[in-house]
Amino acid sequence: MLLLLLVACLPDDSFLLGNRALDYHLDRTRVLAVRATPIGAIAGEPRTIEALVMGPHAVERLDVSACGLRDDSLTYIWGMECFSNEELVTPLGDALPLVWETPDLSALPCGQDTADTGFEPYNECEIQIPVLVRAHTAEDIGYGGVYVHMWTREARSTGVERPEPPHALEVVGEARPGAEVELVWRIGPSRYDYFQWWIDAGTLRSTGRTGLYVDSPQGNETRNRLVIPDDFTGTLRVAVVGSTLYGRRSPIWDVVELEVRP
Amino acid sequence: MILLALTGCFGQFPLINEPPNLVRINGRVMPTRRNQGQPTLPAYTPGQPYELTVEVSDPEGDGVQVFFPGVQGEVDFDPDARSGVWHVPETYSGWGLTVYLRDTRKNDPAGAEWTFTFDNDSGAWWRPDSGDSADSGSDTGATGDTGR
Repeated sequence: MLLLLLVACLPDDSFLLGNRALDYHLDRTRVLAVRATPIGAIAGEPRTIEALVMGPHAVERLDVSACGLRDDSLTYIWGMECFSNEELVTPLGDALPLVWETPDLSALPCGQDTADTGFEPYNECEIQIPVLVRAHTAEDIGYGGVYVHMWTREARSTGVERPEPPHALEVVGEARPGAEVELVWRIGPSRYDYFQWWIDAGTLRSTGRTGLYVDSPQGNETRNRLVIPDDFTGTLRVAVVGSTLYGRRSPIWDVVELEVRP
Repeated sequence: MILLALTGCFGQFPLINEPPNLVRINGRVMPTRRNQGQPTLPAYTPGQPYELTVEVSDPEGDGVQVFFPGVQGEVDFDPDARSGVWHVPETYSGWGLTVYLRDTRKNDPAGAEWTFTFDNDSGAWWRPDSGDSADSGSDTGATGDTGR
């Protein structure tokens, strides 16, 4: 029987939402990005799960789990609410990166009768499972996740993860209290569509969400400007994550540490 | 009871901090009724600076800050100002322009946003790069930082 858990839309469709665009401080434990590579793999092939976890507190423990994975039916799940039902949760590990040996589901029938649910018959040999990363600290817990999409037999698309492009985050200007420095993130030649920024302190002139600044076959670039607080000295971290619409590629990220000296 | 009566008589009672309103952007007047469509913005020229001017208001009279999240290129716009410049990339691909207004109430700020297309948008707001053409179905939406 088809398990239909249509509980929400894409969690990340809020990329442009202004309230999130301004919530860019590493003031609590945050799982900034999660990836499960290679994307588009067939069930039964391993996936490597990685995450970018940052915040003001030391991470004491991680737990990584999947939800809704069954060996008797196809599941296609949007949303993280699945994790509220412990019976549907499969623990995957307590450290990152981890390699998830996904189950072989090739024996499952592909077409599924949706009976009188009102949904169209579901004919694809595919599943989608949310994977949740929880980062526990003494003060709080950070959450992040990724949808892992798998074909149960032959992949309909190429199913090949493209090599991660070279990328580097450059800080232009002197990191002094009260100064404004330019943040330039160069990626090439693959295209990423949107970029999310986080900082320990200060103001991001272009908010915590930016688009492409340069888009060319040779390489792409996004930029931001960081205003360092007048009273800040010490290490100031800047993180940036690049993502694609529809998850065409796994997210990539960079982190730099600025030493802010008077 | 009196409160309920007042709510019934005057519509939504202001028990919460209401978000700011965008009154006008680049001369285009925002709709004041539900059945009015949102305007497009005047045409841009790739590679050329694009002047941005907004007129805003707030139901409670709070201060209003203006942001442009997720814009391709760079926007020079002091959040406390009402005009600025968007540096349109030469390779701009029609993503649109999102405006986010947030009031300055310290402990309970409220915000609202709008996304605009332009008079000369082709509607092709996304294009794959050369390596993406074969990738039609693998869908792993990264959802990092799912919130609390």
